Amino acid sequence: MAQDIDLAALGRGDKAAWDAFVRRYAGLVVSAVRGVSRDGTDVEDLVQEVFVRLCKDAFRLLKTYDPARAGLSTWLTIVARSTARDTLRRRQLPMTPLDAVPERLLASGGAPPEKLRLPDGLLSPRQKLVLSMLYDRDMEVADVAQTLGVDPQTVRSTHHKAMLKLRAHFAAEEQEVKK
Amino acid sequence: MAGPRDRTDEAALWRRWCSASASVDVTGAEPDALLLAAYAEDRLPEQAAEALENWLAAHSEIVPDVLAARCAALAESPAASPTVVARAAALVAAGGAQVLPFRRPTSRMASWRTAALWSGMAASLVVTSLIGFTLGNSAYLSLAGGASPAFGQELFDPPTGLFNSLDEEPST
Repeated sequence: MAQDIDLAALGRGDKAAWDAFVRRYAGLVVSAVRGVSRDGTDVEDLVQEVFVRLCKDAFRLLKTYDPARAGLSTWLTIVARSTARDTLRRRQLPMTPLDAVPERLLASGGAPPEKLRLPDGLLSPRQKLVLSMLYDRDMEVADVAQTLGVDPQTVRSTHHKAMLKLRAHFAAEEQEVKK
Repeated sequence: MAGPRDRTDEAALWRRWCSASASVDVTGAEPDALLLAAYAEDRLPEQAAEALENWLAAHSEIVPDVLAARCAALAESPAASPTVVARAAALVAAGGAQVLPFRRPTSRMASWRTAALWSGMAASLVVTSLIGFTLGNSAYLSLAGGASPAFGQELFDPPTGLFNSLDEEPST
């Protein structure tokens, strides 16, 4: 927790406060970054990137932290993972020479994609998130429940209701097409 | 939850929904880290949490961050290596560091000693010049092949013969 860290002194750039902060949270940052780095290499550099981001521009990012809104460990984990992901993305940006791109892909124009009419609020945000975690991320029900801070049974129920809605929606759509 | 075959069907249903809703603008601005952290700690009001879940459903790559943040708040993190700590700590310099001006060197020597020093330096310059002059003069005389009585006079009073010959009228 952040009780032992003097955030005001940190924001002023106090060396002792920064050292205490680094000693206290370096392990947490390492853990967070390890979860993003696929092969586990460059963890030290990614950790350094996180701390650089925290203290650059006169601790601008660190000053945005508000202990009334979230715990420092939670916030720092989000920041560390986000920074590590951005850094890795920058490093792995694919560079395709313009000559290698087929001309048809470079051509602009054509009709814009037709916008489909979807009923507003067919799925609630929670239902969409549950389905996304289950099917886009292939997460287990227990992990989804932990992410949302709910029971696994609640996740199953949310998933079931969402599927009922989707089935009903697409069944009605197909019937309209047949007519 | 459903069986494997049902799960495949349900996944296909979800993909169909996603492709249908892809053209609908459901994405907003990316939430900041504090908002995500507040969500991970169940501190957001219902409306804000719904909006965030709507965004997360469209950006599922961020979902593991929320899970990791929840775990971080509960678990004790391991200690980092001394190298990592040292590198990060070195990012901030000591706050108490001040730029100290150079102190002017105070002269402890007496004024007569300073005067003697400067006089000695001037004298040595004069002596060196004289020696240089004498040596150069001797070298010139030896190269000229004998003593030239008019050397001193030539040095300090150069002959004006050249100019005199120019001034003279050409003899016919």
